[in-house]
Amino acid sequence: MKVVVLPQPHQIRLGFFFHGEQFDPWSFNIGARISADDDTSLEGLGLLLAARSVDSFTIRPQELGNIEVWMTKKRTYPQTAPAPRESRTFTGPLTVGSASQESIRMFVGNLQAFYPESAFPAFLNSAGRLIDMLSAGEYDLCLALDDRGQVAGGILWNFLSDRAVECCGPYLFGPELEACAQDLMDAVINRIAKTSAVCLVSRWATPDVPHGTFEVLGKIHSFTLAEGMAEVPVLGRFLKEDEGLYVWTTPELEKYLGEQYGRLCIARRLLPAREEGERRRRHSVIAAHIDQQHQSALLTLALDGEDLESNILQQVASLLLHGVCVIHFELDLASAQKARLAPILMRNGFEPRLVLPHAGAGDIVLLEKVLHP
Amino acid sequence: MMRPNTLNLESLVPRHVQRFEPYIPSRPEEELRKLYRFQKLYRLNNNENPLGPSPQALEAIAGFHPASGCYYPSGDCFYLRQGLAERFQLNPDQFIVGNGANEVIGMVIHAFCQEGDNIVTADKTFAVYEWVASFSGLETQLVPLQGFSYDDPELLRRMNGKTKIVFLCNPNNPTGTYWDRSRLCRFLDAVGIQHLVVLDEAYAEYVQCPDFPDGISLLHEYPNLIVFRTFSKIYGLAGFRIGYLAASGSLTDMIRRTAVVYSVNALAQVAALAALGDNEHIQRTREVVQEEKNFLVPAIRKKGIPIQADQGCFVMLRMPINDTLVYRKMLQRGIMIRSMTGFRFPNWIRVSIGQHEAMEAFLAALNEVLDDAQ
Repeated sequence: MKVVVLPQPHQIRLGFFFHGEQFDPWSFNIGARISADDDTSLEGLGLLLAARSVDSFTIRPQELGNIEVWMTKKRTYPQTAPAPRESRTFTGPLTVGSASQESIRMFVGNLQAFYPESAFPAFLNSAGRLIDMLSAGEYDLCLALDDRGQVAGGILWNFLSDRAVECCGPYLFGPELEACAQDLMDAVINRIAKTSAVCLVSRWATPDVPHGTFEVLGKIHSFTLAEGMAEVPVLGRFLKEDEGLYVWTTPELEKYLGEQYGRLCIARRLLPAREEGERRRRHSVIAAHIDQQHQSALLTLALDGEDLESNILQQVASLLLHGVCVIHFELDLASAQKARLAPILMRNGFEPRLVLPHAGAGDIVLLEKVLHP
Repeated sequence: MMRPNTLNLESLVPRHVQRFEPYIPSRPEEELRKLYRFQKLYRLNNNENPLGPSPQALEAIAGFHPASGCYYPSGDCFYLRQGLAERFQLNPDQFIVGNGANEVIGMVIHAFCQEGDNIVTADKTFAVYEWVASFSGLETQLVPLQGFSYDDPELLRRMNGKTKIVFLCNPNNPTGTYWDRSRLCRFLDAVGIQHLVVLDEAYAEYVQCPDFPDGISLLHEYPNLIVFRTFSKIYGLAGFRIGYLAASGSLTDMIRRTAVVYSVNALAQVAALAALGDNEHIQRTREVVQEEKNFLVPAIRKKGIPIQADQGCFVMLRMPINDTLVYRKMLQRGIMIRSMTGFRFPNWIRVSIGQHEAMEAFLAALNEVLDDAQ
């Protein structure tokens, strides 16, 4: 086995590379249970403890029966206190550019003061975490500063895949800053226009997004203690002239995809993803990322297996116990195997809510199940 | 002994090449037709000549003996350089012909730049200067446009001891703005002879303003000046890939060292030489482009859409919706335009001026797209 350790300021990543034809990763599932009376299940105790000790993991089967497992443990950071929410006057022309550590602290303080929790991802609760994530290159941030260095607004973004970027914002900290919102949005687009990114999406768009910048890809549910459950739009735009893709689908999903691709004028050829009788592992693994602040979970298929449907039901039951209200399941339509999950999810209460173009190896369709409407 | 089955590209490929993002050109028309299901396609995305190649070029192409395709072409475009010399009253050695002007951009950068050097140009201009510099491991200083035009004081400010070349596109693609003769000469005087200035005049033949500078006529005064021209635009030979540069003999002597001989095929040389003498075709193209601009621009303004229409055979429109969505919606209607996010002009599109039927079709499709957006 090869072990790789990647220390970063805000997290540590451990990679395990091994031959694993007989490897049973079942206890990675959040719904997995160990019983002291069952010797077979006790064999998975180590993996179960490992999976529960980290914040996220991925499992990727490789060629020749090799397995790649990545586990990520995040550092904890103190929460940044909100800045005083007072009327601000910005002086001189606003300059949009990169941020210093001090301006990042001001940005996060302002964010806590001016926006509800539902408007930004949980990691933006801490300036320290954001500073470390920016220095690790995980995110980029553009701020609008006035000539006294006051932060009037900001926007941040990261690559979801080689071809898709997600942005959060623009966040504005005063009235009459429409031009600033446009400058921030243009700054992001211009920064990524000549990269590999084909699509820009936003699950964290604010009402200040300049009109005409994005299309509405769909709506998802979002929950916070302060605001309860709400439907929020997810936005997206292409950055390049899309040249079309093949995507795998099933009859249950086909109508939805056809409608969405038609509505958004996205040229796609739909291929039927059928069971072809290939041998499957006994146990599947579903990776779960829980967002405590928004009481939501994002699931992805890490490894396919014969027990997939029962595993999904176990995951849902387990997430319910964790207090999760909204579950999202991402299916990458570049994979026929993943597309074949759609009917299983749909008959268990998940609904397709939107398509994220190029967000994975191909387009990703996001299915949602609301547990506490 | 076991042979490793994967290449270690990390160590084989220079970092600047790994970092470079390749340009993906549009798919062929048939492939786009399958995806977007249009009946007829109007190509208004590449600023091609709406009238096609000149009749004299067509005649020369028809007269080309296919069997002579077995022979190498003139390796240095001998007769075409003679023709260019006669036309511009220079020495044939002052011209280098390339497989499109893109090739001569590469020749110039490779002739003069080495690791640690930089080039200076605008942020929103023809992208190939920046591309070639990037995948050659050079830094590019990108200077924001001022009011759609190259910003001369800022260009000068950004130049430093490592700056080898300043690239100016005059008139600028995609904004169509130009520097007049006095502004260009003031800039060349300020640059001095420690740096080279490339003046890309791909669209120069479209400009009829009396104060527009003819870069080639300035070569006598500025030994550090290099002028690019192309046969892809007004001469209508884009598919043949042929362009050229003109400079002082001492500069072309150096640039020629990085030129791959035989890169320009025989048919392109024949077509270009014939097109060079077809002044009537050039005049007719100018007239058609001007007439259609006179038709299109007021129609766009009437819709309240911001338009940037200056020199050249194209205009830019700022759309109320995202430009890449406009691209897809227009393509469904058989109109291919250029979305401008990739030029760092989000929500703008560039439209090449076509014949009247194409402009009518463009306006009809645009109306539908705008109605959809409301």
